[in-house]
Amino acid sequence: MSVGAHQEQDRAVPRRVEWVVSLALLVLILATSSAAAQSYRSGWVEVESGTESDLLTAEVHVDMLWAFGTNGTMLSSGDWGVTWQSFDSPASSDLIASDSAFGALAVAGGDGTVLLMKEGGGTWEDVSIPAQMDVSGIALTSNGSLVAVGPAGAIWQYDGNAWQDRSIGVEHDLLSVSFLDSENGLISGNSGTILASTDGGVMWDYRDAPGQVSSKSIVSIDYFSTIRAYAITDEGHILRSSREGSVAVGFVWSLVEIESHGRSTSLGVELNSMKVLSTYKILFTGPNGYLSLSKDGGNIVSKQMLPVANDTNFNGVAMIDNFKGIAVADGGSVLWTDNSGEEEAVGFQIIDFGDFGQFVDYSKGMLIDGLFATVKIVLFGIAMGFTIGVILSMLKTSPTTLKDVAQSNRYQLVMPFAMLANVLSIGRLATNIASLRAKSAEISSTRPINTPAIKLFGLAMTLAGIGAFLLILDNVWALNLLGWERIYVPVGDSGAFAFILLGTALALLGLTFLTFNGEFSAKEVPLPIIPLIAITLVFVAGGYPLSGENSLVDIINGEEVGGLKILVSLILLAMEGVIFGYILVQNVGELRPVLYPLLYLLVLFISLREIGFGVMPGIGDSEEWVLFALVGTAVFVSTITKSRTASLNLWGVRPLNSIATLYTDFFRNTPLIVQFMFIHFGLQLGKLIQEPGLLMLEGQDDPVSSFLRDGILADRAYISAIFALGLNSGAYQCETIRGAIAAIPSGQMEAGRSIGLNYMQTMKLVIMPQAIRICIPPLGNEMVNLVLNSSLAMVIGYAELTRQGKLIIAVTFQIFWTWGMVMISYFIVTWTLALLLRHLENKTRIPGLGISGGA
Amino acid sequence: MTEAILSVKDMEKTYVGGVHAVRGISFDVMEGESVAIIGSSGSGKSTVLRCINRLIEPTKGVVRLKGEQINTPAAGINEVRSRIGMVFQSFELFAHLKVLDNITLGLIHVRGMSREEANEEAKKVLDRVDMLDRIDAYPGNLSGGQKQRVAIARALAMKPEVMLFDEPTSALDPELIGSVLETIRGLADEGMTMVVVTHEIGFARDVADRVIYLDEGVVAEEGPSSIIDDPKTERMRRFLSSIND
Repeated sequence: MSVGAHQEQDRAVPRRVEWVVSLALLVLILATSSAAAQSYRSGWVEVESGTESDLLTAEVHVDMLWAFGTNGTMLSSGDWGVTWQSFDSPASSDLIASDSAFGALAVAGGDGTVLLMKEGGGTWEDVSIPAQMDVSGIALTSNGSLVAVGPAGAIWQYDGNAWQDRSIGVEHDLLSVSFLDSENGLISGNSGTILASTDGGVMWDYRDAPGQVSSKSIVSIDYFSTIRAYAITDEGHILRSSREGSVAVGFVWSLVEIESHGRSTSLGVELNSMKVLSTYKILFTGPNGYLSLSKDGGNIVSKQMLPVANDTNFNGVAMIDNFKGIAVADGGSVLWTDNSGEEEAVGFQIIDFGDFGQFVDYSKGMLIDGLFATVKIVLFGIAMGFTIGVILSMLKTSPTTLKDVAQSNRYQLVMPFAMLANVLSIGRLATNIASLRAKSAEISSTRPINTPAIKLFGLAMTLAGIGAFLLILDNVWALNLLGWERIYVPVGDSGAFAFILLGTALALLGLTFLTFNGEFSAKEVPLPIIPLIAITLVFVAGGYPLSGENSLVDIINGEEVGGLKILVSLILLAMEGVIFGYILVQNVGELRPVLYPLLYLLVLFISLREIGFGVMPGIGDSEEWVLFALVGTAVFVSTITKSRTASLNLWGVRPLNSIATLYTDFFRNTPLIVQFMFIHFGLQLGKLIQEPGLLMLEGQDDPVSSFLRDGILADRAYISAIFALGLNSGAYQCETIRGAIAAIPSGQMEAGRSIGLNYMQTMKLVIMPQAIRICIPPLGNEMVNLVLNSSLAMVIGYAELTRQGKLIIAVTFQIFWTWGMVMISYFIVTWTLALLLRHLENKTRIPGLGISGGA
Repeated sequence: MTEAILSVKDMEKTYVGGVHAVRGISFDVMEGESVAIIGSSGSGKSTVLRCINRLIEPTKGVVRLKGEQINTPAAGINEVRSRIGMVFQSFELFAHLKVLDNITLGLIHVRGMSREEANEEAKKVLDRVDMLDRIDAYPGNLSGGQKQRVAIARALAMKPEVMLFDEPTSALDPELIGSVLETIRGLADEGMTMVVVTHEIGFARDVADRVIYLDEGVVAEEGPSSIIDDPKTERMRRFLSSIND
């Protein structure tokens, strides 16, 4: 009791620190007064037009602004749109379309009404079309000539004297016409119709609009320059045509993927008209109070704040220059701007990044985005890492040896598949497990060890292994690598390397099985045999004959070999031999460590070669070095060791352990940042998962699918980052958990087994619950590490916290503040995680298990 | 006392590395009999015990439970172990489970009982070892004697045909030994077949029907418990006198 109370006291101290920090943070957050009021002012100002008629189109002519509307309404302004006068109109029909070019102004509308004000004329000339069709689009082709379009494919051309019907049999209504100069013009209309003329509107040809808009109405088209034309549909698509090489504008149209609208091809609103101000700057108008501006050719379109009601239907824009102009709308509304309608920030003009408050205001949103991105990969990374860690640690501690494998009979081998079939209830394969077990037991009792079967199996494996090895060798030579360069074979031809690995392992296993003598004891292998086998392999693999030209003897008898050099080289080689031999003697009996001395040896060679010390003439950076070192090893080992044999217990090799060890060794011996780049850019894992994933989820709208689609599969870097973090952390967590398993007294396993639990049950019910409790603190470390390591995801372009920090610096140049704030953000995440883990540790604490005392 | 429940014949064990711990040991244990195995440390007592339920695989020899050989791959080892109760020197209670759950773990996962049945059964055996009042305690909060009695209850709950005790009192403070020995004595009186490896010579004399003295991996002397007072061999005499000193 007193001990318990004492523990509580000990724990209370760090607790209090946590409270103080938490409270301080809370106070800071809550005590912050609301920031100075910031608001934005619309870039448009409403002006008095003096009419209630709907204004349908507007134009700039000489130094006057004109607006036209229903029932022949005409307004003009001589002071750039501030005040408006009604103009006595010669027309009574609705004026729908207008154009101002070549110093002339034209307006057209219902019943074929066309009015023309020539350069310097100052009066309206009635040039109405005799056919009285409703004009929906008009364009000037010179100071006095016109092209007008209308319903059902109507095209009329006015050459200054009379109207000519230039229809080419289009069935759809034509909506808009635009001329670049006197020759080149474009017409757009319903059902994706685009027509072009190169002779001032006499002859018209079809042009192809993108397939997506083939059923849409192209309400407005603008042949802006020799390099660019734009068009819009009533459903918010923006079409763009550029000159491509010698192909003129108008032939190739593409839909703009609007970045500000999630790369959609539509703005998602209805459009009425547009005004192209420059090659990249466009104003769009539409119903429901829609006015928007793009300054980059439609990639980013920002809707503008307006001082009028939200249901205002904007019909047209007229701009005096790139900034000043008007927008006209239903109900006689006229808006005026002198900065193309862009909003003005009220409260501050320019963000002063030297002011900490303004700096924070600018960067906090980005930091919070980064924080969420970090938390997202961290959560999945932890889950994946922990799962992999638990599985690997179980594999690593699994006691199954080759001996157990050799002792299993055919029924036991079938058993897992039968169980799987039962679980999946594959009818034909599903079978009675109990009967399998009985048969297996029967075999075990009559023939516990089936020597011929083991030998046969061994023979098959040996042949398969050697076969695989020999078959693939050509692929390795095809890589044209010399000597130690061959350590890069796994990259040059991964398949070939896998085959060689598999072949070697199979041959080794096969030989072990083949030489089975009825006893699973360690084999005594004469030590010199090992390097001799290696030498032979190197020779065979290196393509060198054992005698004759280029053979070992030949190399030793090289012409320019000097006495001293040979001596020095031999001494060096003997030293290498000592090292290699020592490592070999230490590690023999296990398969894996034999590979490491080879790697060490290669490193040694490289250093020797670079230093240039002990390089024998005639011996380059090739196999001979390995060869000589191996000879040295053979000499050393066979003369120094007493027994002259190595105890090679291949039966004790644990296959599951080896697989897990290979995995952990790989991930723990390469840098995480390289793993990130290899997984994302090299393997393109994100892409490999994203594409089939999206395909699979296509058309499924349940919440899980949409979460997977929008939350996870949307970003390749995100997928890659989760995998890199999870796979890497899994390797480390595996070691941590394995350590904890090892810390559980072996008696616990014995006790579990002694009451009849099998190995897996004991692991699950007895060992793991205790091991996980023990390793919560180191596992917590591992998870905190994972959070901090997630910052490396910036190298693959994932917008996590650190990358956001870099972006903020790129704009603000406030290095100290930015990295300081990034650090605080990380601290908050990891600290919360650490607190949770501490809480978990206290919650799961069991008397008598692990360290008692302080938290 | 007619049928041999447990029979060990020519058992040998050589550890990896060449230590020859058990060098051919044979003995039978009759139904209801309690056999004490004594011997100095390193004489192979614990190895013999562990070889019986194959926590250690014997290198050679035959172990039979009710006439059926159990040290072959054919014998379902988990089923066999559930019929042989084992009590360890260091208790080996499952530290993360409460007393009651320590007992029910095997009943539920090996015997396939429901939790209710298992709880019922566990309470019965805990009552037998006088631990019913601590069913909600964690092993870490129990004294050594209490732990060992729970461990006995855990083995007992499986209704074993024979029980193996591996120096059940060696890790206990002297004043706690009594209660554990009392419990084991009670079991012997009820007719439980048992093999006890022990250093408690007095206990062996009082409780065991038969005593086996092991020395260097072989049975040096064997007989009724009276041989403790009257050893036939010089080796055993020396061992007993070294203990009594």
